[in-house]
Amino acid sequence: MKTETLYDLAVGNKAEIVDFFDENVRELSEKFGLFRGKIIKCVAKNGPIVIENRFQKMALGKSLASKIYIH
Amino acid sequence: MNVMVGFFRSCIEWGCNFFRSQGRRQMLRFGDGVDSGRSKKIMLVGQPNVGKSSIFNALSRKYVDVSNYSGTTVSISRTKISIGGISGDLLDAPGIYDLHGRGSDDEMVTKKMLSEADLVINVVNALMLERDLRLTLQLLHMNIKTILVVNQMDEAEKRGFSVDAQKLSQFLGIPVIKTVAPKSLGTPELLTALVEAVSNDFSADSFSETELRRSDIDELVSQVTTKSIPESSEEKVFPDTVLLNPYFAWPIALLIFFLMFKFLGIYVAGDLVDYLSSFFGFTYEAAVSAALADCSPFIKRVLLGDFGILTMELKTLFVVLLPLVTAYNAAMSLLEDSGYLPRLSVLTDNFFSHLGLNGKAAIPILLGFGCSTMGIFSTRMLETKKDRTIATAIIGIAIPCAAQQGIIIALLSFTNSYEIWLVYIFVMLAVICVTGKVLDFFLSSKNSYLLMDIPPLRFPSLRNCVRKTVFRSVGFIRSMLFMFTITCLIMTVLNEFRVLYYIQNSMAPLIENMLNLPKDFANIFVMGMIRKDVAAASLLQMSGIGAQSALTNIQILTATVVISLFVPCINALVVIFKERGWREAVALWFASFFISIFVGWLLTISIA
Ligand SMILES: Nc1nc2c(ncn2[C@@H]2O[C@H](COP(=O)(O)OP(=O)(O)O)[C@@H](O)[C@H]2O)c(=O)[nH]1
Ligand SMILES: [Mg+2]
Repeated sequence: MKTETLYDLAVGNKAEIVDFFDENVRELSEKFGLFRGKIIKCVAKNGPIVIENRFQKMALGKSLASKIYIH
Repeated sequence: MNVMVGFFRSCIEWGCNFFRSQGRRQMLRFGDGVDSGRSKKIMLVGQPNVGKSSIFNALSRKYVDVSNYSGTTVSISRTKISIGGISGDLLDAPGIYDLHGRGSDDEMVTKKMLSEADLVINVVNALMLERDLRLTLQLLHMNIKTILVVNQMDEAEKRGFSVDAQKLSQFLGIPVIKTVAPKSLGTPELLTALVEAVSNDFSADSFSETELRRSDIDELVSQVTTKSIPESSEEKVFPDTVLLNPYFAWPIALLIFFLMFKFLGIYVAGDLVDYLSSFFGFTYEAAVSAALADCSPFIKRVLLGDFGILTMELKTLFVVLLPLVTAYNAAMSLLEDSGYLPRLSVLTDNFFSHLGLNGKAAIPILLGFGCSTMGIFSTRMLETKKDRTIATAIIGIAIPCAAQQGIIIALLSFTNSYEIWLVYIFVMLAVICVTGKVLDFFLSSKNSYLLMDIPPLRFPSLRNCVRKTVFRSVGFIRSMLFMFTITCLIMTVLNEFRVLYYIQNSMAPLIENMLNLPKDFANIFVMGMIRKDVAAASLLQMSGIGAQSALTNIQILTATVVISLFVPCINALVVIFKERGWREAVALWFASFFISIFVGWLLTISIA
C-alpha cells in the first residue's frame, strides 16, 4: 500500500517509512538517516514538514516529503 | 604552455592569499600535497554540525567559524599543530554524509582530501550514533586510520544517555574519545590518542570484511549506549512548538528582526555613531591638520582633502563603519549560534520556492546582510547550481551589507518620513522577487528538494560569539583599510586631473535628467564601483550630516535605492568570479548596473 506519504502525516503522529518514490529520493533520505523501517514522528507542518527520528530533527520540503511512503 | 600554467597558478594563489589576508575562511593552498611530505595530515571528518570545527578550534590556536547549522564550513581550513613533537597539518573540512553514492562536488573535494590524509579524526554526535557510525564504518572499510570522537556528550547526558567508549572501541578496533568540544572536555585525551596514532603504525585493517548492514549498526548502538530516563519525558521543547508553528513563527521572526533593526539602526548607527563623531570630529581633525600644516598642498589633498586618507577614510572607517559592523557581527553570531537560522529556513521555504530556491537559501542571504562576500561564499551550502546562481544574484544585486545598511539607515532617517522607509523596503523586496523570478524562469531546471537538519536550539556560547565577532570585524577592518585607501587615492587622482569633472559632465544627462540628482552623484558611482559602502558614506556626507540636508526626500530615496542596487563591490566581485565563474560575474555586474539606474529612474518618474 503506497498511497500514504510522509507529507500526509499529521502533527504529533508517528509512522513507519515503508518505501521511496525512486532511487534518488531513497539516497537523499538515507543520507539523513531515513531508512525503510524507521519510525518517525511529525513535529510541525509549516510549509515544509518537520519530523523527528529519535533525537534528530529535520525539515523536508513538500515535494520531497510526498515522495516518501509511510505506513 | 608552462608559463601559462605558472601564471594561472600564481593568479589563483594571489586570489587565495587575498582572502586569507582578509582573515576570512582559509582557502586550500594549491600544491600543498607536494611540499609537506614530512608532516602528517590529520583530517576532521564527520556529518555536518556534529562539532568538527569546534574540535578544530579546541586543538589549534586558529579560529574557524562555528555556528549551529549544517553547512557552516564551506571550505577546507588548515593549521599546523605539533603532536608530541611531530608536526602535523590539521584540516577542517565541510561535513559529509556519505562516502559512497554520488555526492555533490564539495563532497568530492572532501573525498579527495581524504585519500591524502594520514589520519582521520571522525567526529560523531553522541545522540545520532545510528546515523553517524555509518560513515565511521565506511572509513574503516576503506582502511583509513581513524580515531573516533564522540562529541556533544553533554547533550547526551542531559537526555540521560551514556556511551560506553571502551566497548565501542573494542568493537571497532580504533581509539574512541568522548568530548564536549566547546568546553575542551576530552581534548587532552584526544591529543594523547593522536600522539599514539601518529607514532604507532596501527592500522584499521581488522575491518576489511564487507560493510556492516544497517541493522547491525542499530544493534551496535543499542549495545554501547544506555539510557536512564524513560523515553516519554524527553522532547517537550517549548521553543520549537512555537518557532515551527505556522501562526507564531512569523510574528516572532518579525520581532527578532525589528529588535535587531532597533539595536543596530537606532542605537548603534544613530546614537553611538553620533556620539563618536562629535567626540572625534573636531579634536581629531584639528590635530591632524595642525600636524600636517607644513606639507605640500598635494600631499595635503591626498591626506586631508575631500577624499582624504586621514580624514574622510579613517573617520568613516572607525567612527561610522566599525561600530556598526561589529554590532552587526555580534548580533548575527548570536543568531547563528542559537540554531534559529534553520528554523527561519523552514519558515521562509514557501516564499523562496516562488523564486526558484528553497528555504535553505535564507541562510546565505541573511549572511549577505552582514557581508556580501560571506553570503556568496556560503551559497556553497546550497545543493544545486541553480540555487547557488539565484542566491548569489540576489545577494550581489539587492542585499545591502552591514556597512552599507548603517549609512542607508542614516540617510533614510534624514527624511523623517515613514513612507520613504516603506517605499524603500518595498522597492528592495520587489527587486529581490523579480530577480529570483526571472532567473527561475531562465534556469528552468526543477527546484531542488528542501532537506535539512534542524539542530537543537542552544543558548549561544559567549566565548564563541566574541571570538567570531572579533575575528570577523578584524577581517573587515583589514580588508577595508586597503580597499578604502585605494578608493581614496584613485578619487584624489581623478579629481586632481579633472577626470571626475569630465565624468560628472558626461554622466550629467543620466544623473540629472533621469534620476533628478545633483551632478556630484557621479563621484558616488565611481566610488561605488570599488566599494559600495565607501560610496554610500560619501553620499551621507553629500546630504550633509547634522546640517540641513542638501537633497530633497525624494532625491535621498532615489539615491539610496540606486546605491543599494549598484554593482557589487570589488571584494564581492572577486568572490563571485571565483565561485560562479567569469560569465556570471560579468553578467551580474552589468545587470546590477542597469537595474540600479532603471529602478532609480522608475522611482523618479513614478513619484513625480
Ligand atoms: N552542547 C554542545 N554543543 C556543541 C558541542 N560541540 C559543538 N557544539 C555546537 O554545535 C554546533 C556545531 O558545531 P560546529 O563545530 O560548527 O560543527 P561542524 O559543522 O561539525 O563543524 C555549534 O553551535 C557548537 O557550538 C558539544 O560538545 N556540546
Ligand atoms: Mg564546521
